[in-house]
Amino acid sequence: MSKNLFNKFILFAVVAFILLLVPGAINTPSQGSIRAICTGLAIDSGESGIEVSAQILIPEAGGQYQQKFSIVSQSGETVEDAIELMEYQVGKKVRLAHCGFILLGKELCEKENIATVLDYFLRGNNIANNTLLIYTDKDAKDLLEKSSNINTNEVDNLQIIAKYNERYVFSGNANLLSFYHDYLSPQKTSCMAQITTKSQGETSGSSSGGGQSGGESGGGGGGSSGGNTQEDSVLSDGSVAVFYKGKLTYVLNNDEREQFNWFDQKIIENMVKLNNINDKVLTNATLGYSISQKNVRLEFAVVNNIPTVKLKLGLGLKLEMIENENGSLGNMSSYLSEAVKTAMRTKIENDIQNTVKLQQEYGFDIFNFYKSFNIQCHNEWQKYLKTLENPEDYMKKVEVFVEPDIYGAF
Amino acid sequence: MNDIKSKLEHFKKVFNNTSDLATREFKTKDGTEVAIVWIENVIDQLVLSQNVIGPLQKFAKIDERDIVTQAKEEFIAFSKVSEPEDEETLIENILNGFCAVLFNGTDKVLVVECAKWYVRTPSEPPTSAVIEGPREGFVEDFITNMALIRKRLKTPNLCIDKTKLGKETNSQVRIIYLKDVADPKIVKRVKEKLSEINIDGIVDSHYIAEFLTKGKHTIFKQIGSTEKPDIATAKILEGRVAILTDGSPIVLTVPFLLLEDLQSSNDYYTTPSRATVLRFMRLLAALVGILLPGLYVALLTHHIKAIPIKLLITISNSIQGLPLTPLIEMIFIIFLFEVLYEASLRMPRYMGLSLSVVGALILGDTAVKAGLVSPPAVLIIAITGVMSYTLPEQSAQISLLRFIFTILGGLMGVFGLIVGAIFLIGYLVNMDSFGSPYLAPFAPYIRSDLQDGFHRHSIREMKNRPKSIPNINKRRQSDGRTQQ
Amino acid sequence: MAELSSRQFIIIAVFVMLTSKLVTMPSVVYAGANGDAIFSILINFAVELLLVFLITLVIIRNPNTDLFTLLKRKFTVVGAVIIYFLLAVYLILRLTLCYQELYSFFLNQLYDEFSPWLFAIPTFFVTGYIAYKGARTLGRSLEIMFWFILIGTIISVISNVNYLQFDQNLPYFAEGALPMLNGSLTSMFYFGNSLCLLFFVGKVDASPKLLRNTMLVSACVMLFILAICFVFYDVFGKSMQYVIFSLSEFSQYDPFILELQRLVWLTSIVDITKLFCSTICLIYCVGQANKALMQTKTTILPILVAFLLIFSIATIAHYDLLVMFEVVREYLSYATVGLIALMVIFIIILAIKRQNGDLKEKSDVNLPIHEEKLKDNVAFAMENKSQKDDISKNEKRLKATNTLTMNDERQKDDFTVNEKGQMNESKLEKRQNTARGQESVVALLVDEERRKNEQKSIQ
Repeated sequence: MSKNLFNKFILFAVVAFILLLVPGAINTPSQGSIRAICTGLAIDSGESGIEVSAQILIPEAGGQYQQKFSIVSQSGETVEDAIELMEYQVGKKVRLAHCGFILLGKELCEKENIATVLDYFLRGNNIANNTLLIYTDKDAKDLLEKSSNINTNEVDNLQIIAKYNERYVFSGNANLLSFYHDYLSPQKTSCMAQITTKSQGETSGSSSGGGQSGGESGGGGGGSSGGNTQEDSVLSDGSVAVFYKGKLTYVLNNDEREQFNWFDQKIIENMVKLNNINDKVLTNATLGYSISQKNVRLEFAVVNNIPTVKLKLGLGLKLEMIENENGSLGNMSSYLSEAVKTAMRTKIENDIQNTVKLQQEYGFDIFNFYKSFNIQCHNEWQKYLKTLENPEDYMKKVEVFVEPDIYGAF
Repeated sequence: MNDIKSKLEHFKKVFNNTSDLATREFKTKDGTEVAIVWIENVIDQLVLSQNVIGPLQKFAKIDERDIVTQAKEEFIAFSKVSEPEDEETLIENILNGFCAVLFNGTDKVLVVECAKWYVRTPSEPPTSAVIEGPREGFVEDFITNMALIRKRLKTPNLCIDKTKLGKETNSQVRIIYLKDVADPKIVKRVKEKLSEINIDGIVDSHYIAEFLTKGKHTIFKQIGSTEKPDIATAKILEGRVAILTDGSPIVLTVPFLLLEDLQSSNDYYTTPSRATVLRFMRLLAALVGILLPGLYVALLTHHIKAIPIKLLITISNSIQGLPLTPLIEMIFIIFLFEVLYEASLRMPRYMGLSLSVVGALILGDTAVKAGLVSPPAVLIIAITGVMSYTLPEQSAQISLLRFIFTILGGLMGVFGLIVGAIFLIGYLVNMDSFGSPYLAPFAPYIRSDLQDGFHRHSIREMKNRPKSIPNINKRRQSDGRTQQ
Repeated sequence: MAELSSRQFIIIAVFVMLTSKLVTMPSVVYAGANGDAIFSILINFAVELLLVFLITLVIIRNPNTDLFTLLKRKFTVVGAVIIYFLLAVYLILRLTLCYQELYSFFLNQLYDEFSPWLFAIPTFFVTGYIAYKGARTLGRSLEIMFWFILIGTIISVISNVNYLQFDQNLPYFAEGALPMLNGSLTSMFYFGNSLCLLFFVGKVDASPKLLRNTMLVSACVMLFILAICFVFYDVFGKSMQYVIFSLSEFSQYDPFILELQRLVWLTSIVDITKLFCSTICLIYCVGQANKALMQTKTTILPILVAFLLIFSIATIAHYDLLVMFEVVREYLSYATVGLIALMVIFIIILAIKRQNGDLKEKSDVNLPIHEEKLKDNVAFAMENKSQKDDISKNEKRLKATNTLTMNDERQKDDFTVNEKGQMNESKLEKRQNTARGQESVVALLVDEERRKNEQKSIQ
């Protein structure tokens, strides 16, 4: 084949290729018109297994930023079935790439293994791996509807509420991949923050865990104003749902969640309240301290076949609030007497023991003690595990000691 | 044939009885019949009558010498007087604004230059305007142009080689270079290539540029062009060869690198840091100008998931209910834009102004309001239109590439853009202009030349001539011209 | 003659080494070695670094001879063909994996659906075009793209570092060294890329520092890959089983969900361009291998054949990466270990420095160089359209060069210098001086060489 002929052949092939493709390309409509853009999902347990509701964007002709959503829901045996049905209903392929969060209803979490439910999302390439997971103690679909009614200019109300938690609530940033990350680790414990609804009259929301969630010190407090008193407001009340082996095991209410915060360096408490303080200056006072510095160090050891955790806690406290029977202290933001320190130590000690008790009772391991033991004292830990009847119950014998170092800060 | 009358008849025959061939017959003081032949309108009539006809009328033979020699040496007060060797030269001289003086009784003819061509005075050219810097521009007269270059390069090393192109136009072409800088091989190749040209007429230097370009179908220009003597001088100083054509204000320079269009003469008349910022901006603008419409179409038709949700809401709201698919919409607007551009160039200036207003405001706005095109698409074409004119010399290439990339983006999405870009790089890298790699100094990487690449160093630091342009004298500064 | 500058060769080496190492390699190694994957990669890198070292040595020692001639001289034609065949088979399989990776990556990152044909034909056209145009175009194209890719990669990595958990994979070697070796063996297929560099023997204008620079850059590239893998394993840890494409997924894990999520898309483009560049390098090499095997003049047909093979293998595997992974883990990696061992032996034989033997042997070895030089002279003469004169001159030159190699000790020294590629200006001048003292023909020859060297410096 001469070079000239070959060049002509190549040219012909290229032209033919383009000509074959051009009609198709010209007729390709915008993906926006053949895809339903889903910005959020809610998954509940439904009649035939799983009910999936999607918040779908409806474009409004006009060219201005205007958001309008519709909620579509379908149920099926699996998430995939439900989404397929949804596609038939909408008449478009449902796109999950812009999905910012997945809301999980209480019933579903109690009945099913969430890991198997969510597996569809992680394998598909449609949805981002860092999609937020949010738990709700109500009906997920209901919450989704309510949240899309909130009249703000944001597309992702729930996401914003949940993200606000990140600083205050551990696992406020639980996403698909981190959920699996924890689920597949030996501790098998994953957490996610809870978002709930609250009617305007109520002073505190109830959570399934039992305890009352603290009103004003509610860690989350993201909330949004519903405007109308009749309407429920959507807010994060600081509770955290704990999943053990993929199933909802327990919901830590706000107070319990705060007790766990001592283990986490990154989390900043709003305020720590100490009641009934009596010393030279104070009588039966209630003090509120904010933590301006927090230094957490955990040491793991297996002593005599008993795994022990030593929690070294450095706390810089700043006085924020005083309710003293005998008058005010004035402007003493660094007031820190021995009595206060003792009260603080006792509180921390109690909190920690509470958390240990909770974890031992339900078997979960929120702060991944398994991994730390395994790294810091690998051989002893493995020996310890072998002595147990069921190695999964490793939390049963774990003991935690606290060494708080409390100082004043400005 | 010594008779004046028959001589004049002969001339008229040679010039096909053209009406602008003027003749004048008279007798000298001693009675010799003299005739003068010239082409009207290209001769300065005053000069002719005062300096040629006047003295000749007073002419009388003073010694035994030839009458023609005597007239030439004693009477005609002109610097350029000669006796053409053959008739061909004589006719060429007459065409070039000489007048021929015929004497009765001799075959010899004198030609005297008293041309007065219409010449535009050097003014600032519409392209490559500068804020601070020389404002002179080349004109259509090559003698003026040579003078403009000579004015800047006062050295005996400046060589101006002469050649003539076009059977009918007989255009004068000059090859200008610095003898101890320019690579003789390049000069030789330029001369060879010019000598191969066999065409009836060279109307403008762009005709020559096409003959010098390698390959028939390339969309990229391989020959540099400038309208300003300062730029031409700078290029000659770097070892390039300039080609001047009579009748064209555009001076060609070879070899040409793509980088040259990224540089502007303004860069050298401002601070280096400012020039660097400007160059990066130009590159960025050119890239945006080429890729943005393709990217927009690709995103809308293939990768909606790559658009952030808030932007997506705005876009999907604005394209809701449009009858055209994104690709057709974009091609339609590009077409509209190009047509407007072309029309505004060709329309008489006062109409052009109103046309651009009509085009930009009324057409765009109405099309959007009528729901035919979407505001984002119009915005994107407006942006790319502005962007592509930051490199005015390459705007033709940019608009063609923009069109190709739009189709590629519509066909295959981002994949098409990547494939197109890689192919483009492979293609450009393969090109060379008179031995200089087209993308030098980036590919191949020539470190020393990067001092005038994206980042312009201070002129004090540019001690050597660029290596990407073959030259025989590397040093520009300090040691002077030492041969290397 | 030399088509690549040292710098271009190093950039090609970088791309060849990067091939799919940042995309699918980490997950494949993890499948074999679990938490100890990072050490498996370390071992494999040692092997690859050895390969790069040996090949660069061969390149430096043989600046003017191409690989096939070299192999022919050492192992006869049969040996050369066998080696070429083995290399071609390995490269085609490697390219198939690379190609599938590219396709799956595209599909995964950017598209909902994408026809394999729509992908195959443009890929073939563009990569084939650059490979067909030769090493010079390849080197220069990669030189341009290198900067974009470098900057893009750095951005994509920096944007992710805030989610590291360094204790993710601790403790190492919990189950002994076996998983590590397993991971190392089952992923060896990914680490034979550098064999590609063999095809650049005789095409590089080797600077004196080439070996040092190549090793330095290779080590940097490997450190970079190691660092990325380390970060990658520490980000994903146990959830690795859901991750196939490392770099892209990696940026998805960024917790900065609201705003930066779409950065994924930009990093994908960089990754894809990177993959493309590597593919082009491999295709060039496959084209060269096939060209030698098929004994054709141009590379069009060999490249076409390579593509047909690749497409057929990919179609048989249903464009399914997981099928390919299985094949790689079960068979290809073990075969690659054998191939690498074999090639190391061959390359060592090629790289062994010729001892100063008798003069006769030396002149034999030097002869091809002169032949090539003569060919060039002829080409130059044709170009100048003064054929007649120059051919007679060439005959004279042939005589002159032959006499030079046989007799003139000094000139011979200069030629060995030339062979090593260590020709610097002072030596050039020295040679020029000696040449001027001799016949004018020799002076001509030297002048011409100087001209060529100047051209090289421009390249």
